[in-house]
Amino acid sequence: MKFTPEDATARYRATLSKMQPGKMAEVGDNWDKAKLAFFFATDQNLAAFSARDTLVPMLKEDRRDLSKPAMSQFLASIGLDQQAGDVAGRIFDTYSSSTPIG
Amino acid sequence: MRGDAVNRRLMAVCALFAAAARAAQPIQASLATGVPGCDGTAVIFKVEKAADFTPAVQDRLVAIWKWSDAAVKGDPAMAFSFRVQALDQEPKAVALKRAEVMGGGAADWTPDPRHPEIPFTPPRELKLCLIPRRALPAGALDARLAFTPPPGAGLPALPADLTEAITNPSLAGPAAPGAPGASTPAARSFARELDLSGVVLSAVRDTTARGVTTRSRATKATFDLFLAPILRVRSMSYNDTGSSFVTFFTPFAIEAHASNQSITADTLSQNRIVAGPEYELRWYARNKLGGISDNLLRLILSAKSTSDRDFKLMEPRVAAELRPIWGKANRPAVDPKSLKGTGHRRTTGEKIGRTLSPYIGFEEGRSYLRGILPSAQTPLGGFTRGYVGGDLGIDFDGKFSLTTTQTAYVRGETGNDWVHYMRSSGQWTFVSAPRIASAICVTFEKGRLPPFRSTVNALTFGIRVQSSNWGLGEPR
Repeated sequence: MKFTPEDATARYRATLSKMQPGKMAEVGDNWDKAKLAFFFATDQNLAAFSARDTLVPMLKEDRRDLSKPAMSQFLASIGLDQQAGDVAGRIFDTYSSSTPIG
Repeated sequence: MRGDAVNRRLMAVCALFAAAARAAQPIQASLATGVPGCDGTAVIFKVEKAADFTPAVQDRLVAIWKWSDAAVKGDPAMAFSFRVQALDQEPKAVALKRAEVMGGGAADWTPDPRHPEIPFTPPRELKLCLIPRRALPAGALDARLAFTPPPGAGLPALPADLTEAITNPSLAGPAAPGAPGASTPAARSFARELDLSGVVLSAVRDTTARGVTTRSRATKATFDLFLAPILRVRSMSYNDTGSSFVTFFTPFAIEAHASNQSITADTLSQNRIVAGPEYELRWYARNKLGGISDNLLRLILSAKSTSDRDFKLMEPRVAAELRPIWGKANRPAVDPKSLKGTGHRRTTGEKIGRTLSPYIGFEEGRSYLRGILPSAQTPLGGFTRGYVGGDLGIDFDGKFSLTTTQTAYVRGETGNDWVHYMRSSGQWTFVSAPRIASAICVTFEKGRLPPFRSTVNALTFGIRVQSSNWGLGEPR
């Protein structure tokens, strides 16, 4: 596998910085302890987008495949009450559950 | 069955809680629920630091994978002994339906036989998924997993790392859902499943008729109800990976405003009932950095029946409504719990929530007047109406909020005359618990709404109850 847990965390941080640069600047290095509700208020879709837009490029770059039901289940499980650091860990868990293509 | 399904769903949503057990360092073994792709309890073997992942440790992890890969192919009851204990209950053996090794299998855990010259490094993490026959009990569980292959089971020798049981004294049960937001009108935002408010006034009074005075009790009641048990049916909604376009299908919603008095005179309510499905298309805009932002455009299509309280005047119609949402002007107050551990203190702006949501729409339908027999309906003709309006609100830290909704209708059926409607309210939220919130509210309502039978000009003081996170569909 090409990516490590640290890579997933760094990429998720970058995704959040792109989506909510102001909020990320506010929490600084403690961004991983903030809950997604801080970044996305009550919009569950944005929380799911943040995880999806981190995970999908990782899968593409490493030529791995994740089934649609597994992806749907993962995105549905991203909640606004979860800490950003935990979500980064879960992105890696999902990435590591994927299978190589070919 | 249904309870199990809800339980499983909540378990999928719950955060990943895990407790390290006594697998030999640096391999950490843990039990967790809510792991993506595992509809049960996950057993995770992990090496935290890359520096610790030496060839010897790699061999140990591969040995665990080999044993697990063989064990899951047989009867899981032969290889795994899984017990959980809920608070104040006896320990219980968990019957396993099956076990799976998650991830890429041999492709990830063994060298590529076609290219043995390429240096091989296995993953730093191995996950097994134990799927129980029945859902685990709710709440925190003291869990213990032992590896107990009987002699002659045809499995490889048990690796040394599996000789000790893996434990988690607080294996997570279903997560507690959050409290509903305070201020936004549910009927417009579809932010929650239930929004109910009501007022009852009762007084005794003397009335004199033909010289005879009688004492009687007069009761006035009015209520507003919004109910949409399933906010989004995923199978009929669209959400493609890579896109910022999503759709939401809400199969049924009912919005009722009724009082117990005459519909046409001195009423406290609009006395109208609107019911039907909705389909929403939502486009999220990207910001200059390329990230999906909280600026979005909502197009809400609906096919609904609007009627008066007594179902005498009915108006089946289709409608389309456009709502641009500007993220900065539509933010709830930040919950301090969402910042716990960050050291960041909320700014004044973060303590004040705000709503500014203009909308424009049109609707087309036909009016029917019901006769004495319910089946006897007289068509009154078709109509095309347009409307513009907006929701405006301010919320002080989820405790006190002020909101107003203003709508102006252009009635195509009566010479394009304009009809104004406004509803302004202030509320104090005194209960905010998981799934439910309650508030005392003062509402001033004036004007008319389709089907335009009641004209209201009323000030009411009552109780509002909101409920959300029912788990029957997805959030919208």
